[in-house]
Amino acid sequence: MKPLELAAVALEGFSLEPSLENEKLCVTFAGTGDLDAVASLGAFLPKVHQQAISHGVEEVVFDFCALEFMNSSCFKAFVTFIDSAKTIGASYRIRFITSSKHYWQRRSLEALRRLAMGLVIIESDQES
Amino acid sequence: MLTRRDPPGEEVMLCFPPRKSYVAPATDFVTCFCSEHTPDKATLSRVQLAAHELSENVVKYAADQECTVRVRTDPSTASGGAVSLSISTENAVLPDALHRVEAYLAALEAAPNPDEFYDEQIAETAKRANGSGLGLARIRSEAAMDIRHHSQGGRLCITAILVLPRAGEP
Repeated sequence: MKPLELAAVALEGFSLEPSLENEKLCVTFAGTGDLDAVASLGAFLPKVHQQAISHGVEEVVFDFCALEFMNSSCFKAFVTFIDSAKTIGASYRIRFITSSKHYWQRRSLEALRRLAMGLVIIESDQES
Repeated sequence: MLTRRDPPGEEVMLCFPPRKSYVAPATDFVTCFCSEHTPDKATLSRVQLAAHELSENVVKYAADQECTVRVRTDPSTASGGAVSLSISTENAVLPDALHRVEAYLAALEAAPNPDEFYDEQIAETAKRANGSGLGLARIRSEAAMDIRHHSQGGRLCITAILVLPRAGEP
């Protein structure tokens, strides 16, 4: 299996950890996605798409369980990612794993699900 | 920081220069103030979202060195409401930007369905190169708070309002 060509991101108070397992490209988020995180996330997500295509994965999984908050600028990076995947008819699904501890996640991700019904799946950590 | 008790309402105001490092403390302070009026974690999460988005906006778009974040409670006149909670920000805005943001706020405040308006903004932001334009629509949709604004002398004040129910009411 080809290695994942996607570097982790570690900022003060925000991190992204990518991994490849069982036909899934997983990205584990931690910390707070605020103004300082916008540029890194905006550069990271297009590479996720490239790697998902390159490895022919079935799913891209974003694990938000340790993500305390995400501002609207970071949220926009996901809108762009999902809109691109929808536009090109991506072959992978996009799954978000949320924490019931972080109330904002369900509300925010529901808006992303409405953007791409059938492509975006939201799952609670309590369902995992 | 100024603190004022003006019965029957309570108000706290923070004034600071437009630095990113002040967004998180301002958000935490507003959320902490509101926790004195409701223990409900879901409600406080909505307050935190609104406080963060408003505080970021006031820092990002300030045209001078003075940003204000104010949080206030008043007895609510709404049916079933116990306390009206208002989070306001104020900053100087350049004339062109003021015209644009006021037009946007007027459309946001007039939109009959906050979720539909938010979905429209989400669809538009994917094609926009700069700025998300989502923060205020997100407050109205995700945090389910009313938005009001006014401007005077080139300063823009935006207020997000949440009515907390009386104890025992949904």
